[in-house]
Amino acid sequence: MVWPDFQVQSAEGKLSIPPVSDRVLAFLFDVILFSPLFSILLTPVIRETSLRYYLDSQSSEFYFLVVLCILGYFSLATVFFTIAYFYFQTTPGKFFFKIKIISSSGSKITGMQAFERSFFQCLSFLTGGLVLIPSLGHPLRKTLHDRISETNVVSLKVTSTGQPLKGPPPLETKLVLRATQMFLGVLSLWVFSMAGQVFKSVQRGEFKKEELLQDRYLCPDLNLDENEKNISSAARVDLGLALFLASEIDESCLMSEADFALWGTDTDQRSWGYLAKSFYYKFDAEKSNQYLKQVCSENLSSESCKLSEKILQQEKGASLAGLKSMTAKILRASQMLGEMDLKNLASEMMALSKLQHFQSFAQRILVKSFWMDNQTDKSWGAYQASMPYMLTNHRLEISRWMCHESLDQGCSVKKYSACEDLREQMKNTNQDNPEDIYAVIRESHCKKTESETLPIIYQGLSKDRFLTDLFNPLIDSNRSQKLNLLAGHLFFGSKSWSNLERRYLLEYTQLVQSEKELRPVLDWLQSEGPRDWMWVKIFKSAFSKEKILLPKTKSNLDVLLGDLSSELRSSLVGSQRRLPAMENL
Amino acid sequence: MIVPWLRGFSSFSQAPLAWTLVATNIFFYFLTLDPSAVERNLKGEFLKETGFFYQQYLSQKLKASDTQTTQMSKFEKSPQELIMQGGLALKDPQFIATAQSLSLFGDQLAIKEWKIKIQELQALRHQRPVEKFGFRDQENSRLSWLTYQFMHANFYHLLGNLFLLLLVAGVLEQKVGSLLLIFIYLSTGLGGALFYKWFGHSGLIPMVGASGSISGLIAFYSLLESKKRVSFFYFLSPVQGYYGWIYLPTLLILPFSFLPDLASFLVQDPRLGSTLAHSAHLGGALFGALLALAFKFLRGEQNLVVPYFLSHTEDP
Repeated sequence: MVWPDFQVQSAEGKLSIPPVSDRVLAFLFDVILFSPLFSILLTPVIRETSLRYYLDSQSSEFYFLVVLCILGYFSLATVFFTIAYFYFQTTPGKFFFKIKIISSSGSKITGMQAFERSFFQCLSFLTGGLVLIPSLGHPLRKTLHDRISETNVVSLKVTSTGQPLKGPPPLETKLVLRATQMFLGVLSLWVFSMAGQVFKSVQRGEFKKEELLQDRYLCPDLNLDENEKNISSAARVDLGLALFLASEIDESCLMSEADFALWGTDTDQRSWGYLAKSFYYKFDAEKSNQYLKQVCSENLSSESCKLSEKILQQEKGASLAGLKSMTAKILRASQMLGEMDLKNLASEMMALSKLQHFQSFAQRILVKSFWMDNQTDKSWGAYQASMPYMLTNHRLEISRWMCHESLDQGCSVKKYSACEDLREQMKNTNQDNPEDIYAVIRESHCKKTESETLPIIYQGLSKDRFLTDLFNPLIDSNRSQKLNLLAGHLFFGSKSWSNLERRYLLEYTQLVQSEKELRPVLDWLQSEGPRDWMWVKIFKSAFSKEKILLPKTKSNLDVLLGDLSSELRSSLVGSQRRLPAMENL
Repeated sequence: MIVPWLRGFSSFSQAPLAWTLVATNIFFYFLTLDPSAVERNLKGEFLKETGFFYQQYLSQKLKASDTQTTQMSKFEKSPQELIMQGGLALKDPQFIATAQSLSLFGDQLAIKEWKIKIQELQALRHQRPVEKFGFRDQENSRLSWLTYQFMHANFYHLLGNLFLLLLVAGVLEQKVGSLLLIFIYLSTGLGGALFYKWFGHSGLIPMVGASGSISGLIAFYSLLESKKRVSFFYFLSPVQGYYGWIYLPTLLILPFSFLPDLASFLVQDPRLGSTLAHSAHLGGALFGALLALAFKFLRGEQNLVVPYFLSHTEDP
């Protein structure tokens, strides 16, 4: 038989101490056999717990049910072990490994001893079994519950000669104990350092549920300070969208903010989420429009709904005045640029520059609006004052813009400072913006001293095959070659043009010498593209060429002028003012 | 880790049919591999969204039965939790059936796209091998009652099942012969399917796998050899004494293998889906046990279920 004797025969001297491995395996057997039975007995509680987990794993009901489950398993296991120890001095798992529980005195254990042992054994496992580890170093392998209940665990296994086993292998004591001690040492250090970090986090108030969620999913580039962390979730999306429109955060950042808002439970926040997504999909007109139309589905009286309605009616000239959100402020700035309301724009930007998030944006717009208002000295002043405080990418953007604009006015030596700044930025960054390289090529053509520009140009071109093909022939070519090259890169008939293509078109327009060469430019000007900053410049260039090339015929652009708004017409014909559009922000 | 090792693996000459069954399962696995759009869609963002909508569906369902529920943001659960929940949702036929009419909160345009995707998946499913040969609780072809027994969801599913199949079918073939082995394999597989039809639910994903048949083989073997002991391999650590073999009554395999299945089956909330076909395991095991008793009865044995420690039979 497997089990030779259920009676206690002798005291510790004659019975051996079982190896810890046998005890662990016996316990695992018990767990495998009995935990499903306990689960069946606890079916209603477990069902409700799993359902609550799916519904809301953060709810107090769920936590309560988890505690109830643990208590259920604990109670059932205590009862089961008590009965097994008292009646059989063993459990099914221990039975198969020939392990038996006896009183320290050598007698059969009492009911109280059985209960104490079971209760504290289950309690030990609630600590993850950590309190059991010191038993590895005890000569009799006595665990905490053995000591409390004054019981011993003995093995009835015998050797082939019928002698009791010699006890646990000596290797177990040394190796397992040392390894465990080392592990516990490292664990304690880790727990200690983690506890310190957690304590600091609690002091900083980082364990609020909302902040945990925000830290995990929201865009960190919003850089909210301590006071701003308490703003409403709707205001946060508004700020995110405004920053996106001001080119302060990227698309992925806007997407995280919009998604977080849209899948949340707050309706106002969701409205802002729809609005943010409509801007995220700005290049997919249909989708963008669908999101825009969805904004008011959540809350008709919200600021985001009013704003979306204004945006939808913008073609009819709806004003954004009266709206207080940050997004509305940024869009209003764009509207002012469109309406050439540069004085009001400057005062708005002055106010906006006091806000930490929009400082850089406001300064860039100020530089541009002064320039458009023909106040070039003011523009240069604002440019030089703001450059040191801007982020690298913003410095790059504004120096590129100023370089191109100053070169558009002719090859005057004193205007190269923005191009020099641009070259300096290009050296420090690893970005290959074709517009930057193009600006340096233009500067090099103007200055006719290639020693300082060519290394930068070739450094930029060497990184990208596409850029090499695009610019290399432009560096040194005559007029007709250059015209053909530019025409080759321009796809007349296409409606969407990049900034670089517009700059190409401007150069192409300046080079044309016949009606045939001018015709595609006139057609492009009459197409339905955005009539923005570059469009105005191309228009002016084409207008002057048309007057020279087609003096006797009725001007196409005169006809076009008739269709344009009076503000635009006067700004085009009368001064250096140009019509900007939102893209130019 | 404790694994019933029985008598170990048998060679091809000892158990040709067991090896043939293994080869057939492998062949069918590669034959029905489906890198189609459906498989690609059943992951990532789609599963996360499905998991989140399933939560809302359950919440609405409970509200109808006057249970208090609260709305939750999608981000209050980790992506892994939502993916797991999404897998469960696709197994819930009621959820799939009502998906188009559900009123869900969140990004309404994304919800519209999700509903279209669910519709597409339902339309596409008839083109997938797993749909043709896998087993559903409703609308089954006759062929699928047999073919599902040779199909597997993924490589690890196949590997786990073949390991057990080789262990059990190998030793059983030597005891009862090839003809009876294939009869047990197929009939317990049918038993598993029958239980699944009665008690399981498959939603968008049909049941596949040899688990029902293997459960039947295990139950058959446990009862056939109930008076004997088999070896279990255990491994706790590479230190001597912490790994090795232990000989235990064969009958112990039954609670060892099927109690967790029984508990999971009973504990499973009928309002939720399930990713494991516990009912098929239990059906296969029950049919296997009945076949073993019938076999022993026909062989003229007196005590049909006598455990090892009461029988005193010596080990071979």
